[in-house]
Amino acid sequence: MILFKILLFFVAVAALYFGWRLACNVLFKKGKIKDTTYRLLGNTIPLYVLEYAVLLLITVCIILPFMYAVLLSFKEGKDVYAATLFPKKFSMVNYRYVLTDDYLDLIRGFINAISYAILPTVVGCLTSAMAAFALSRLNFKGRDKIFAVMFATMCIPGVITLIPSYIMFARIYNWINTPLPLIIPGMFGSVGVMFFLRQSFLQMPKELDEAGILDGLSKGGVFLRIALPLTWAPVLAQMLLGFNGAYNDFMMPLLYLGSEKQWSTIQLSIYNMYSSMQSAGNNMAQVMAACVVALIPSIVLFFLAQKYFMGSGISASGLKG
Amino acid sequence: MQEAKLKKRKNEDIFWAVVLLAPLTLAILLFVAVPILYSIYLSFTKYDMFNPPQWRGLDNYRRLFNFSMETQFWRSFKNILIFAPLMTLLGITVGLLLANLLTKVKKGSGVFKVIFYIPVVCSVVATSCIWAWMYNDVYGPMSILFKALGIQDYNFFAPRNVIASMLFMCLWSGFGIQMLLYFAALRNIPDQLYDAAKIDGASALRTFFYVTFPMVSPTTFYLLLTGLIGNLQAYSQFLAIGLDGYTPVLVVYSYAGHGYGNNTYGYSCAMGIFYGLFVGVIAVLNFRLSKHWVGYDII
Repeated sequence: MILFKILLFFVAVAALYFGWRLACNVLFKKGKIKDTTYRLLGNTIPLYVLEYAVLLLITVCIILPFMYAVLLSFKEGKDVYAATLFPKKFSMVNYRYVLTDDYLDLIRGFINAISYAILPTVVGCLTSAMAAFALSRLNFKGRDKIFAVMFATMCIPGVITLIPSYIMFARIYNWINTPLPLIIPGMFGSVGVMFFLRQSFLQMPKELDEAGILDGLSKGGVFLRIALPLTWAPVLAQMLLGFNGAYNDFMMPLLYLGSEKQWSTIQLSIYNMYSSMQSAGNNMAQVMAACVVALIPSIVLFFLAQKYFMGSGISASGLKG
Repeated sequence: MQEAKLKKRKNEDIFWAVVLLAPLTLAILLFVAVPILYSIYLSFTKYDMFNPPQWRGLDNYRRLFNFSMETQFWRSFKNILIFAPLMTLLGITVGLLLANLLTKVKKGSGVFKVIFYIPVVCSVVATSCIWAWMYNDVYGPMSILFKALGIQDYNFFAPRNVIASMLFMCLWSGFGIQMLLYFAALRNIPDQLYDAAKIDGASALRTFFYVTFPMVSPTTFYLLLTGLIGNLQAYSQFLAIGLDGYTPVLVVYSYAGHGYGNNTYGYSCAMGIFYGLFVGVIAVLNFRLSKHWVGYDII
């Protein structure tokens, strides 16, 4: 039934589109309109309208859930379950609740999430850049083999290491219920970031290295003084991407932080809040308020630095972009 | 003199290579290689985290392949076999079509690109909560929309509808990546190819299938590969929206997260290894098949 109605809608749109073009065509053939008007009316304008209509429809589909969440977060009382889009009156009661509630402690979760994300992204990017430099600018035997092996580890499905890592962190390192498993492994760098930064090191002219060495720098000095400052843009992009990823992650905190409330991150707090919504007596408007609070940093960061976000999305694939 | 200098330089390179590569190599050894070997060992044992592992041979694998006993894993396996290919194909199709549309539009393609990319940077927990409300069977906007369209009592999380609901949600939150990569690839196609097609009198559809599609085949291959690997291991959206145990990774994980004290760690390692091998085989197959349809020489 629904499929039929949707189909009907598209058929109607198509009929309107082709009907319009046909009508223009007929008018043109009869000599009622001129060549230039025909091209404009019969070709350019309907195509424009169709293209922008599709794009606007998808934009609405993308924005509407966010808008709904924001508007719901301002509702209170019975209004939450009303089938209206806009709240009767904009109340801040949900935001006051999620930001000040002691049990939920969203502010602490927020600070925790950001503090866990900083070290792995900053240090991890630097260690990855180090490896990327060694694998692209230094000459030693077996360099490409090492790169191939490292690249191959990227293809190993994460599900294999999920449980043994958990056991190792629990039994050998004794890190369970502390944030260390979220921080320490990331600081050693990651192959994905290394692969991406290697691409940008490879694009750097070799003469720069030579010039640095003539000026008395060691290879390590070349990396620190020449290569790193020149590729600051991709490094920054990877840091932003990594930071956003670490901030948004909730599976690792769920696995390793468990129920230790003092270490909880904001995503984990929201997940716990949502999954125990009924028993804790919360309603969806409060969850939405918490979600909006959690989304703000990501979206602000994205709009401030969308060039880095979207640019690195392209080059991370290693394809020409 | 010259030779000694060259040798010194070579030694210096080796020294710096060791220093610079040390952290990442250590990371791979400690957090990838050792866990895998450990997991292979544990999958042959019975282990409960308190007592040392006891060797049990193939017991765990026998239990996994005992279809009458192990139903949870195979049910999730069936779910993901429907979800992952559909999700990958949907993402690629929508991404390619939209990117194609965006390259045609003269004004505002940058703005649309940014808007379509927003859900990608958002946290899975928050978007899943939003969609859990959208899909709520009484108050959710989607239910209200369906009612307006004449469909009563449509439960988005009923077993027969849940895959469609999740597909739509994941498409909403993920197609920005595919669109972005295709957009970049489409911009790289030289105009002469389109001019040639025009001179030959090719229709728009034929131009798409004979010019555009072959030219972006490396991107398609990349998206197919990463999409399949990622979607076969999808879990966070499912867990956050409240479908615990719906995908294989969640089943594997449930034996570590909730199975504390049970004798299930060896078993979950066996499951993880089996499923990881399955994903790996799919990835290798993808590489093998790519020779027949991906044109690397043209880009």
